[in-house]
Amino acid sequence: MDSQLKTSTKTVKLSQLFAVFFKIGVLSFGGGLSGWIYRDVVTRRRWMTAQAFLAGMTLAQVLPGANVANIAIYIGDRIRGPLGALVAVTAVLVGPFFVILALAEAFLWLKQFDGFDDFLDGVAAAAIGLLLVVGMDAGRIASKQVRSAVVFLLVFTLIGVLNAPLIITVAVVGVLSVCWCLRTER
Amino acid sequence: MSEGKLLALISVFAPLSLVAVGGGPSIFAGIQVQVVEIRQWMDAREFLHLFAISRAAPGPGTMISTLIGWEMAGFSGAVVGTLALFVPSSVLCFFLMRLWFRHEGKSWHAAVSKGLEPIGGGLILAGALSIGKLSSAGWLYWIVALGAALAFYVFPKLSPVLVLAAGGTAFVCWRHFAGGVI
Repeated sequence: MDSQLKTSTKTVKLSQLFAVFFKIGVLSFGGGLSGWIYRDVVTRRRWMTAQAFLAGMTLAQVLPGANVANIAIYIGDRIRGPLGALVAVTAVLVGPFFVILALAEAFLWLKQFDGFDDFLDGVAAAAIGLLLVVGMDAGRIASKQVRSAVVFLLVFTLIGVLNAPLIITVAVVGVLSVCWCLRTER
Repeated sequence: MSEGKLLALISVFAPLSLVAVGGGPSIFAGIQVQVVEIRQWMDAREFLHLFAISRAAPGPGTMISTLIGWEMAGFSGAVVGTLALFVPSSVLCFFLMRLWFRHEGKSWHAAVSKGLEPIGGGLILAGALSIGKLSSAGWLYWIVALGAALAFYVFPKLSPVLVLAAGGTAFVCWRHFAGGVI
């Protein structure tokens, strides 16, 4: 079964791995990221099979951490082991790191202009709107089953409305939710 | 002196990193509570501005920790903020992934996957509410937020940067040309 997930026989150079993920990191405006990665890693370079990719992606979304980082770790590990994972995740973060600092400095300079603060307020509002879409979509999917709907609403109410401490809530609800799943799927 | 700040950054972001189920944005509520309410590193508006910048930039949406670190302790703060947020979850991810695939096809795989899925969603929605509550702006805020949500819902292929810029412009126009006090 593992042979299905094995990569192609040619060894991918670390520098290549770095280059691919660096590009992904810098160009990752908004969503559709997994599509990009799929096209590059699976379709164009054939570094792994579609199956392997999808298996990793699903897991990357469920595990804690930024999806992009987790996917990079998965693919990097598959291709070149722990070193590959490190190279891939560093590559995907280093570009945005410098871009975001440059942006922060640029915005600092822009703040001298009357109205820029208002502009940023508006950007924040719009950004919340975009988060709302993701959240509502997740809610729509969760509403298809009683269990997931309950867990979704519970987490939202506890943390968003009642300001319960996040870490404890996630830990407790996480365990309960998984146990509930284990019971019903036996 | 600044080591205290760097350690503080780690103590905020490292634990949150381990529970960021469903992706980066799931811990926004937690970050906001720590940074603005509990530790009072910055006021609400400043946090919102950093949030705005982090969403407008490329890369994972949680690079707000980079900006908070930058704000607190310059370049080294930015580095520590980034590492504190990404290293714990990355290490955990690396080992859990290997564990997962070593036990390929076990019956509990689906249970864990399905069990954790709605948590991420609930967290993201909670994060949106939590950050939204920070703003002192009134109805215009929610009009822009809902407008952006609607635009993105109807046209999913819209460039997010465009939507964000439109939101910013709307605010500027209202506050300066319509003389709105919001």
